[in-house]
Amino acid sequence: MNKKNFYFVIVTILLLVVTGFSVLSGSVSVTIKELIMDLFYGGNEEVAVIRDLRYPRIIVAMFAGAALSVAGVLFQSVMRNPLADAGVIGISAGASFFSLFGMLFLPGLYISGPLFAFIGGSIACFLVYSMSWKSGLSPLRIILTGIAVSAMFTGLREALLMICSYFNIALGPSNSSTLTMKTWAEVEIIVMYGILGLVLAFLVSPWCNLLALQDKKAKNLGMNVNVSRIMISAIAVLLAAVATSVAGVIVFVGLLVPHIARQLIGTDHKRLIPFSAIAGALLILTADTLGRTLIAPLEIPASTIMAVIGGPFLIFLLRKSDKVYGI
Amino acid sequence: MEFKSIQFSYDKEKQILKDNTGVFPAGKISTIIGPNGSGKSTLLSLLARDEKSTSGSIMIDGKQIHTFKPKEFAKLVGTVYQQNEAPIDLTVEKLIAFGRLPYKRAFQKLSLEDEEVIDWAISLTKLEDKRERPLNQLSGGERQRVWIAMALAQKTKMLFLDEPTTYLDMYYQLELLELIQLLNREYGLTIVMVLHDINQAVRYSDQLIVMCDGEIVASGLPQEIVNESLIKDIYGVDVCVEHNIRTGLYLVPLGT
Repeated sequence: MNKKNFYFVIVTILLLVVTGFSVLSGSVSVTIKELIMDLFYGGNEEVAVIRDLRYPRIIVAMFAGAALSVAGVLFQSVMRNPLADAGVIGISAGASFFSLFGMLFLPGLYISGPLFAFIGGSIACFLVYSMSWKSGLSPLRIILTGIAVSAMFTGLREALLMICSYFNIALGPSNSSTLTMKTWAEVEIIVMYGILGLVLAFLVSPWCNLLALQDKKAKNLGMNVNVSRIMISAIAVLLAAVATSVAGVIVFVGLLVPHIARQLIGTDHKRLIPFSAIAGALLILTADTLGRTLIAPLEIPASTIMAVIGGPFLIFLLRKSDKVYGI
Repeated sequence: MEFKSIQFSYDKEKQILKDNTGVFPAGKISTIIGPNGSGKSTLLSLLARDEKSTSGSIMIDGKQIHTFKPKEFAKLVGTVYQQNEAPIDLTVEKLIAFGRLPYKRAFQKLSLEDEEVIDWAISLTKLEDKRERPLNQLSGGERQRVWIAMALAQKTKMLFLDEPTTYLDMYYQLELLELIQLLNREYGLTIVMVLHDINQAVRYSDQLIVMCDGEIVASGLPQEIVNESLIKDIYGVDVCVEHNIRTGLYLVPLGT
């Protein structure tokens, strides 16, 4: 077994272990035997609580991590920039604001959350592109534009929330942008669109590989660079938007995971995308599990943990950014 | 390939290319020379479809180049740039395999024929023992050969090279020019390149195109057009043009 496959196996095993640990730990504790018995016969009330509350949370955490990591890989590929992350460049903020907007004005529509998140993410993505295109998508320019876009949408979202609370409009639990209180309906959304996005991402991996060359070189080889760039971006926005609309804004996952993945298994997107998906699921599930067990019954949101780890990591990447792949 | 009265500018104020007409004869080596900023790389980028000319026409076999589909054009023209980028852990073989993309549909695997073409490109560029190596373990000269091999794997009739020797030492420069000459003589590739070294340009080209201020000021056989006054006019350098049986025509710069 070569080294790269070895990393795949290790990460998968770790994910399984953490999943098991996460299922079993928390305020309600059961044994493995009880879990398995309930699977066949049902009737165990404690397990029912786990099934209604803990399973959805675990699945949402995993898919959010996978989706955001792969979105990061895709953004980094199309922007030729190792610092692009859905959270950092404002895609998540755009998605978050618009999904709140959708929830308020079209609450009946089942799909409105992810759909509006996608529209918001696309607008943010368009803004970042249009404002950093002239500089040849320079990494710092993208980050700076992203911060501005992100601040704008975060502000708009807060304003909207403020107006809601003034008029006493209840937003329901689905507005809470953390991983708590997830329902099976939300699991359905993130699993469906998450899998769609991940499969599409894997399918465009040859394009991502080609975009690692210069644009003109990719054109020389008969590639339609602009069309592929738009399509890859759309897939990345879809992934980021779905994750954001269900799990809230989690920054830096899309930065941390792809970077570490590249160090371990290289830059070939055929491996990088699936590996980042598994590693991202592992990272967010671990963060969430630690967050809810470390100081129980209090909880630290996974997004907070990620911000604390991710901030210094971004600084580290900025420092050595001239040596990082792609620039 | 021929081009007629092509012009180019990034914005209205400054015209980078003014009304240029010329021909690159099939099966010959044509070299574009000229001082920095004279528009030679820009001309090459128009011919390779990296940029679109503001006006004028560029034809291959009597057909406008912008009417070709991207993949069709990629089967006609391969381009090697002065500086190229690729992920540093990509192996030589995988990078060269990109050259087969114009012949592939999306997601299609490499066929036996593709493998043969890749092997051919690797052996011509003498990279057999490097094929599993990642790019960052290669020297500058070897890396430039990898990019040429990739263009060769495209199996084109024409090969464009933009200052291919600029960052190489004397040995690798000559090695590369000899490879280019071989590709032209043995495999009939039409070569169009931009060079800085006039002696190399004279020695390896069938046709010279001299550019100055966005215009072609002279073109033809190197021996016929290179003389002391031409070089003085376009580069502002005094040279002594010599001729001898062993070296052919050569020039020695004397001063500014």
